[in-house]
Amino acid sequence: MSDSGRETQVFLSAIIVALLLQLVQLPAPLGPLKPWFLGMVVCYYVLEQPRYIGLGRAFLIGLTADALNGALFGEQAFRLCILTYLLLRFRYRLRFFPLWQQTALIAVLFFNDCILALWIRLLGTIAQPGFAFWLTPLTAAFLWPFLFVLLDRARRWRRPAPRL
Amino acid sequence: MSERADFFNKSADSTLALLVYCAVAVALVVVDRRLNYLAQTRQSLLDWVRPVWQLSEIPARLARSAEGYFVDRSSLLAANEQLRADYLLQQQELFQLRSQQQSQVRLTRLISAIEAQPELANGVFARVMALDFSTNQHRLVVNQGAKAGLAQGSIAIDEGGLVGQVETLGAQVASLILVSDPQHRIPAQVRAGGERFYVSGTGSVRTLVIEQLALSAAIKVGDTVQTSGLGGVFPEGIPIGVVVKLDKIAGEGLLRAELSASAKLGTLREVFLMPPTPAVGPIAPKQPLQGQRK
Repeated sequence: MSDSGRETQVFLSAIIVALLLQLVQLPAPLGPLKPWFLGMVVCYYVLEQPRYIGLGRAFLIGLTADALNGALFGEQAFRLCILTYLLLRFRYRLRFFPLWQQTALIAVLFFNDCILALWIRLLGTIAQPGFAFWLTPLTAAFLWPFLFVLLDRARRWRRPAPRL
Repeated sequence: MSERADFFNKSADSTLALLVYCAVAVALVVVDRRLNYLAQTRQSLLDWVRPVWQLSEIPARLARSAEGYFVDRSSLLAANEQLRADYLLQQQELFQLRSQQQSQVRLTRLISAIEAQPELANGVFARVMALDFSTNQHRLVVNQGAKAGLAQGSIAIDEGGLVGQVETLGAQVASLILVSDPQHRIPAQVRAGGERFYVSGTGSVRTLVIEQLALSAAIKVGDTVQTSGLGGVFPEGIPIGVVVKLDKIAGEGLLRAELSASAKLGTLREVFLMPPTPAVGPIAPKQPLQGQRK
């Protein structure tokens, strides 16, 4: 019970940190390359702890992010839903991929997400992003292993050895 | 088997859910942007999330203030260098401005000096190209010549008084002999109708001299000596200098007066040149230019 309580804390803080990271402005050359942290955290949880994330929660988290960003209401909700759905479909296979293959797949998923984002922004008549926008899947893929290990550690931190 | 069925079932469920959620999201986007129904909601939302934005700005603010503390040395040095270069450049510009201002003041004085004497009207301004006080011969070269209507014997004044007269004439350039040249003599007087005498140069830029003045001459320290107009060349009434010292010449019953030149001979920049006046009286001795007058 206390384990699951801790897990929930880690989950919530990861989501909150990701939401804040979306808002943080990075220095000029890095700014446009900033990956979609929220999507990455959601990816991790769908893969490792799907009981925390379903389509409904993905939608709600996306709406919260949209409200915080103040950009386009429904955009991230839409993207997160599709991301979650795809991952849920393939999670049984993805979980047993080695990390580098998983990383490559993350890059592809996030590239797909870029196209979705572009489409929904067109729908919402928002200014088109620059070239760096198409590089964000690569930065996401680059950061993925770190995030994966970090969240793994956070979840298992001070946890008693798994009962086998 | 049941596991498999369950998986497919779940997946079918989630596909339906996905479609619903996507439809809702797209509807939201359209309602928000295309139809603008959510403007009010957006406004109030902005107020709600403002604290979160402020929170998210903290790292950037920290980074910025840290940058203030830890600017690297080379960029500081470069900035310093740049500032110093800018400073020197501006200093130079300031000097230029000041000198322009000074020359404007000089020119204004010169013009008003000329306007005070209407008969000087048909002259030209010239810029001083070279001054030579090195030998006993005091010469001045200006950038106007015969083309500007100058002639030999044309006289030069500045805002204070008489400067000299043209000795050698070129097309675009003229060399002047200054009043301070020891070989130069000017017929002079203290006031119209008073005693006439000659003012000579001494070889010193400041000082002119009147040799051999009668003891009875009505002249005292502080008097302004002016041209008398006799002997031609110099028109009457141009200031030459102010008497600063009167000496009795021992055993001769004569006075020797020292004048301080009215023209600022040492610091000339511009002079005003005008044609010589025709001679009406006896030709002054030691006027080397008389024969070549127009």
